[in-house]
Amino acid sequence: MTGESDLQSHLHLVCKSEFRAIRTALGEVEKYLLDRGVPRTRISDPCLVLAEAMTNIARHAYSDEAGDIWLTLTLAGNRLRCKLVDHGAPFDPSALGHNSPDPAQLREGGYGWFIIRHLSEGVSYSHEKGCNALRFSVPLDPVT
Amino acid sequence: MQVTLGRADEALVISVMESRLDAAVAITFKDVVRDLTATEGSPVILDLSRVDFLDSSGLGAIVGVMKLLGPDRPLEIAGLTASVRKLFRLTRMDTVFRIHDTVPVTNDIAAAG
Repeated sequence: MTGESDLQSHLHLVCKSEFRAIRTALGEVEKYLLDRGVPRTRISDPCLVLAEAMTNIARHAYSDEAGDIWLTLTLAGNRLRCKLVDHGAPFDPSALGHNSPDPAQLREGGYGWFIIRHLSEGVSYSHEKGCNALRFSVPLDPVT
Repeated sequence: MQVTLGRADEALVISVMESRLDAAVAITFKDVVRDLTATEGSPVILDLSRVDFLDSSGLGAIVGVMKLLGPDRPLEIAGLTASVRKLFRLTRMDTVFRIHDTVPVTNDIAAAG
């Protein structure tokens, strides 16, 4: 991104698609954001969205077999741009629909993709050269 | 997954002693709470005041616990931190659970986990 590079900061991480490893990676993301002056009250959204995206990859793309997830995070102004790449089975999360489950149905799953959609912008999925790539941008809004 | 068990009036208070209730512990959480509530018939209050990260897997486990307890035995929630409250509101789970602003004072019974 010519002309913007001095305003941007990147974090590259590789994470196993296991829930404990995802926790560790989220700890790294949290530290990265805090170290760059993002207030603690503003990091819960990006960490939640990344948790949901990585958990989806672990459950659906890798079907609970361990594989690698590559994260590229770019802190640019008041938002965190995220790219997640994996080698799992083609998995387009947008096929899951946009709506939150009806709370009265007391469903135990199905909230993850809704959370990603609701808290981030510019969500796109592609499958290229055997890789899933999910991109989105999370505004660093305070918890309200 | 560590929780403690207390009693406030007739309610059983289960306090989650972890900062994260996420995919890594969701199944264990549900199993632990099922065991703790297996014999008692009293209402259950889930104390989340130490939880500052809840994801959809953790939320699903809480819903699962509510279903395990059945319609005659309400599961209530207490002590939501800001980010956890936001998730309850976002998923409209705040319309399903009775939510207490403060955690009731309890007599501790036991720790488990």
